[in-house]
Amino acid sequence: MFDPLSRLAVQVGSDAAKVLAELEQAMAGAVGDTQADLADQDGHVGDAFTKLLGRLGPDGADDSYPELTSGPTLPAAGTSAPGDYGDVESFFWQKGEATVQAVSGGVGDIKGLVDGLTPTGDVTELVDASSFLVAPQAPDNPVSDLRWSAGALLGSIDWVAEKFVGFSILDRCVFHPFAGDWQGIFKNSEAWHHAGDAALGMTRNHAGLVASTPQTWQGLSGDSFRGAMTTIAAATYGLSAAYSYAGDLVKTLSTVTKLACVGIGSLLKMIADKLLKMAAEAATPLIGWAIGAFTAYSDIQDIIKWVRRVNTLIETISSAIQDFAEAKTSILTKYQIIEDLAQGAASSAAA
Amino acid sequence: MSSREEELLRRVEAVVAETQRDAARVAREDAALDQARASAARRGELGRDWQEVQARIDGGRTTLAAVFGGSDQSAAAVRLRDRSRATLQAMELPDDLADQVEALRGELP
Repeated sequence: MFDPLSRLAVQVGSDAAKVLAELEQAMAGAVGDTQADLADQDGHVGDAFTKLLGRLGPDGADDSYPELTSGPTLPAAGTSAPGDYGDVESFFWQKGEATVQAVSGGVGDIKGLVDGLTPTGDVTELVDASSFLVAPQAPDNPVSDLRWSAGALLGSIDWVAEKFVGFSILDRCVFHPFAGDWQGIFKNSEAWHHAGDAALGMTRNHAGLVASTPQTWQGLSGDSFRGAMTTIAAATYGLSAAYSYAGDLVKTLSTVTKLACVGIGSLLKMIADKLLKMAAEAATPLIGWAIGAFTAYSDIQDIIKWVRRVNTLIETISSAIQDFAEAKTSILTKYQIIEDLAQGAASSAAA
Repeated sequence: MSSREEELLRRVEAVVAETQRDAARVAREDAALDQARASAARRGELGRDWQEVQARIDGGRTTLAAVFGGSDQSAAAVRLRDRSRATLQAMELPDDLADQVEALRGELP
């Protein structure tokens, strides 16, 4: 039941990482193209100035173009992820505020973000976006714990249930529904937020490029550059929101699963105790079974009720997984915008 | 916390609360039955196998879970397990209980 669903959750996380990588690649390509265009244009401008200044005398102009193909080295980014970002103890829901401050500076929209930045004239990264892309850690895996403890609790006494209900409670209530990559889900809950924070960092960096363009750079090329960077900033901002939304949903799934596993564990312990009691009473033929027969009916009713409760908890986890699966559509829309941008950048470069 | 998360957590918490109430009731009811069976076993009223096994339980050399879970391979424990299996095998559920079990099978994933 959960195998395909948990796989879906992990798959969407993996897709998100791929799109982020494609986005980075597309932007790197776009920056490279822009740099090449700039070098080319600068060359023409340089030619014109050389000719113009050449009329003024031999010392008027340097005849070599500025070296732009390899480009100057960027200075260090203004901000990066907190030092303990991504640690088990620094879960996003505990330290999210510090992260948001570091990344967004309270950004409300792209225009607001650009207007709020102080033009420096230099090309710098406002945020080291890559610093947020740390490997996710899973502090614990309640499903794995449940599977292990359920086996220890019920494994040896499950035969009693098989005798009177005709199925293994362990198989139907634990092993079968909780198959799949749950560790991946718990790791994903962090990874979504890491990717969201990184995308938001890229938003600030692109907004920073707009803010840092000199007032003197007017005309078609300047406006195109600012327009393109603003568009990419808006797209990465949308993507970061989608990542964050996905992260919230996976976090909900994680929290619900953890609590549900505690409840299922308690129910399995009660079921195991009841099965043991029934097995012992079934071995007391003298007077014991007479007592047992008196309680067997209510014992079996209790077990049926508790198995139903386990199923209710499983269905609740399933609902949280379904929420996530349905949210995939909105995330994919944001992917589409990025993909369209990347495609647009590629086709305009080819033109 | 989103309202959806609250709703799902409330659903889980309701089940956990019901379970805690059941746990308290069952602990009360079953503890008395366990004590009655253990006393009868010590006095030999349940047969020699139960008396021997109960003595080993009291001495901390085995547990009820080891006896009926199968890890206790002593002759008395094996005989008690066999008797338990035979009794449960022969057990027929009343119709209404059989219907409940059948319905449960259909509900599970």
